[in-house]
Amino acid sequence: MALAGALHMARLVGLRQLLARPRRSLLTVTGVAGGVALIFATASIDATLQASIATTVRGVAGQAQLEVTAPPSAAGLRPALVRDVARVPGVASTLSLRRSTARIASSTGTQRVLILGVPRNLGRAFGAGLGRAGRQLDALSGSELLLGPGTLGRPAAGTLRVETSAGPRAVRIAGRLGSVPFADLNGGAFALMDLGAAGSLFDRRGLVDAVYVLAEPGVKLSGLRERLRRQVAGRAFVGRPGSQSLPYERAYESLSQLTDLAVAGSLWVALFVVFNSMSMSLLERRRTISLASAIGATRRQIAAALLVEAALLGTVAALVGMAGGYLLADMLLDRSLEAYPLLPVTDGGELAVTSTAIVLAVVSGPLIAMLGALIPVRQMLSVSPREALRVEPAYEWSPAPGSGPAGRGRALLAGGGCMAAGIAGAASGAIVDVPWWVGGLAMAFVLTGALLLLPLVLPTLVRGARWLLARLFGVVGGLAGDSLLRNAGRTTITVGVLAFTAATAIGLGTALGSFESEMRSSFTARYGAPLYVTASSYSGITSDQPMPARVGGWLKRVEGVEAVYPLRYRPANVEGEQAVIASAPLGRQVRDGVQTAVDDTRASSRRSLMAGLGRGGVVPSRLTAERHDLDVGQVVRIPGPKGENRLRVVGIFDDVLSVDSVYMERSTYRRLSGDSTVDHFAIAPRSGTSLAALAGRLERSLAERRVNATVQTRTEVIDAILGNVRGMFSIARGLQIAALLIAGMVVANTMFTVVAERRWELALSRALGTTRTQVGAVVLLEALGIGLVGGAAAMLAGIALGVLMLTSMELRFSWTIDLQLQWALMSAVFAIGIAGALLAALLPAYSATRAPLAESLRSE
Amino acid sequence: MEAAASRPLLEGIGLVRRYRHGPSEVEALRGVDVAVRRAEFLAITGPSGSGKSTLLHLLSALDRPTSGAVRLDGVAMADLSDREMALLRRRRFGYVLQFFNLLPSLSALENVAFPLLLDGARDAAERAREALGEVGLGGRADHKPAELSGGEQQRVALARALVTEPAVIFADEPTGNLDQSTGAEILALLRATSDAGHTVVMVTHDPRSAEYASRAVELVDGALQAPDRASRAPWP
Repeated sequence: MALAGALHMARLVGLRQLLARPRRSLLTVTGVAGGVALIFATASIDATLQASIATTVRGVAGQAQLEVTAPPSAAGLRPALVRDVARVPGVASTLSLRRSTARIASSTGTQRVLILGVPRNLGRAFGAGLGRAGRQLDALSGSELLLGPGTLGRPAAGTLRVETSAGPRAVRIAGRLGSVPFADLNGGAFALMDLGAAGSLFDRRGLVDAVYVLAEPGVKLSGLRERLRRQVAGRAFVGRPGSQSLPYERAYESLSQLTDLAVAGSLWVALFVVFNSMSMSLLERRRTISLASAIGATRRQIAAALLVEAALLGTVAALVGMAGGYLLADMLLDRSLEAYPLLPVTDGGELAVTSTAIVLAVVSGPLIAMLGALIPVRQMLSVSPREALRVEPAYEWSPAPGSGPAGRGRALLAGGGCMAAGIAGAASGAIVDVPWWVGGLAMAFVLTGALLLLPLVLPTLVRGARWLLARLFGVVGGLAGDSLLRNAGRTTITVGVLAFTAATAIGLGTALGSFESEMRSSFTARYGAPLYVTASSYSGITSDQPMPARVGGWLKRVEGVEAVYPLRYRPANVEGEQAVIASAPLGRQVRDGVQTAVDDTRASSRRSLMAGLGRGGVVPSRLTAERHDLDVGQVVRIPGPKGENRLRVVGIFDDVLSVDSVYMERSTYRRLSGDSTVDHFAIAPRSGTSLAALAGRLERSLAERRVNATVQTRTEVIDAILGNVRGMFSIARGLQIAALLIAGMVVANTMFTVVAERRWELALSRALGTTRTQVGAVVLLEALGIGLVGGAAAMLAGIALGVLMLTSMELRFSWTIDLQLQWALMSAVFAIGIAGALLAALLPAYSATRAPLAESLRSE
Repeated sequence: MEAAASRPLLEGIGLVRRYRHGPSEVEALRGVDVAVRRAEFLAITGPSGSGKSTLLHLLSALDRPTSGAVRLDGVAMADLSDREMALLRRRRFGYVLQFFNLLPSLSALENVAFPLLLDGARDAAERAREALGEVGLGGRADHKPAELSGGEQQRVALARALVTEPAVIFADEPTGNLDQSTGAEILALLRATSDAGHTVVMVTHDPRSAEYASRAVELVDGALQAPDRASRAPWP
């Protein structure tokens, strides 16, 4: 019976309200839907990319039971090793594979695709053969490509250009691949060519990246695997096909931590939008709720009705959010890949919507709405039934519970406690080693504390705003300020929303701006030469088609060149985890006085550092060292074509990558990997040489020798790398703008309510002689007051939030980032806050000036 | 049996109510004793600010006294929890208020059915329709309050008060917002309700309205002017 009563109460009091206030309901749904859309989009993108990684790394294994894979740090598997694998007892047959990523161009466009060099008998890996695709493979001749289903679209004939280290090469299109079991490989953006032809095209003759092993019938796989491991003796990995995807998945997870900050910020905004909307709605319905209480509704029934209302809003928001999230994810999928060039995929293919993403969206919508409504609902439960009997609107007639000295004391204690706990947690990371999640927890505590302290702090700021408005705008400003003060609860809530969203924008901007600044400093140290020759396919981490070493010799002979330093960055496996190896002729650079990335390295001494590097030592980043518990003097394991390499740590440096990174001498890298290719050549000019003239000569030399590379200044190199980072952060920045827009809607909603509530009062002032312009000005100035106070609070809170976000990032990735206050951003957000509040109040102000005088003077 | 019948249905004993307004304290009621018998129509009169509404709030479980006791059928309300007070208001009391106090988004039928729906009553609509018929508004069941005149809204409020067959109906200035003739209709309905056996307690500042009651008490400055005549009857 009680449940039935609660449901009736929910239907009549709660749900009717949603339809009676469509604008407010729409605002709430929009706020929550934004948060849900982000959750859904990130979950879908994560699932799609991880599935794509797993599928792509598995490659075209078919029914092959085992795979022998070259370590990522190695140039490939040599023919001798391939022969050794085929000779192992129990191996029925082997199929070799080459993997290259390259940009291809046709008349219809360009695309970065995965090109697989495969043997013509690839069908053997697929029990029933490959059918038409198998016949197409058999028919391949010379340098021809069979395009995958997601490659280029039309045409499927003619020629296209493939970017290689020796420049673009024309390759004929043999056709589009018929139906194959691996059609989803790299999202469909792949092409097959003959194994030998692929080796010639990409200058990797004799080398393969993987060997698929088909076992003889009845052979025990575990035994075969052991025999293969003994045979390769550490020169390669042996495992099930696709088992090497795990390090890439981990690398992706760590990279996506950065966008999680933006998602967390949006969820806070969604919570606050609901808090604002429900608070306003319940304040308006205070009398209705007190009447229901007077007639006999219990507190439980009132609470249930209002929470059902919130849950329904949240459910609608979840459905809207899923639809929006799908579109967002579809839009961002390719953008995400561009931001993560470390991954072995270039195309995510069709967006994969998983049940996890759907459940997350469906649950989070009502959950966010109900959480945001909790405090306003709780406040309403103590509304006295007597309030229903009063004449005047009951907004502030009986003081809200907890608004007296005891309540303020409790709020101060609770809020101050949370803030103190959060700040202590964040500060502790600077003194002792703490788990990475401490930063995030500290941020949650501080945000909660700020929410609790807001009603205590804002009234003081509002009084200040009132004084300012009266000073600047006279009696009209005073009236506007009085209205702000009279409805302290509503003002606090509206200002709070604006302050929170603006603070989130400032905080995120401060954290990302400081991070970008730190990255720039780090890369400025890494790229110390004034000019660079960079492989055209360089993506910010590594190159699809690096330059051969001999290019360095050609560049050295260009007039005005003093010295040339080859730099190479390569994904690698360090202690079993995905990492980046950075190699450079560090000793020579230091002797020549060129700035290097390891200039600021923790080591026993500079001399010992350089000596250690010269003897084959390595310098891992602080993140790498902490993850693998490494210190100077210890050994780190890096597999190579000749087996596992144990290299001594000779220093630890500060990096700003979110994956492991290790620096080593170029000679060490070449010995380790057998790879002599180059991503950049750093050019040290002769004294007195004009850089512009030298750049021109370098470009001509490259063109003469058909080297696929560009000449860049140091600034251009760094800007290009940071461009990738900015791409990743553009998602977060987009969210900041969306959050500010929602805050604007909240202010508009508030101002409409203000005008409706003060209809009688504004009509009376007009009857007494106030002009329409003055009436409109009162409304606009009230909005200005909200903008001023919200903006001021946002500046303070935003800086604090930025510090917390930075601390969280530092703890998570063992970075050291100096705080860089983003004055331009803060000023812009402050100005947008005020402008937005004024803009939001335009229509309500106009409405206030148009209300019919006589009608408005009648009692409510 | 006779003793039970003569015992007051509702009584207030030594009722004091103080309010704090900022730094000052206001004593709205100063030790009031009042008793209401079954089927009685009691009018509480007095000038504005005399404490009439405060006394009504205490008797009708809308508020709790600072000191003193309110008893319904011998049961002290002070012993009731907030939940029990709400149930009391729902099932045993009805309210007719000065500003009608209908839920604006509900139809007349839904307003009347509201207390029954809170109890999950399956026949709420049927009983509500019957109650509306009794006050002459059977044909306006689907209209919202904004579509009804003041008098019609007050009838709806009366129907809502009657639908649960309450022990007591409380009316707080029920004609305060109505013109004279409409007000007289409402008062006549209240009188008829009382004649039908319901107990009615009405607050009014208008002596003419008080004439509809079977008994009147006057409050001035928070105290009864003369001892309540009913309280002079000997208790069993």
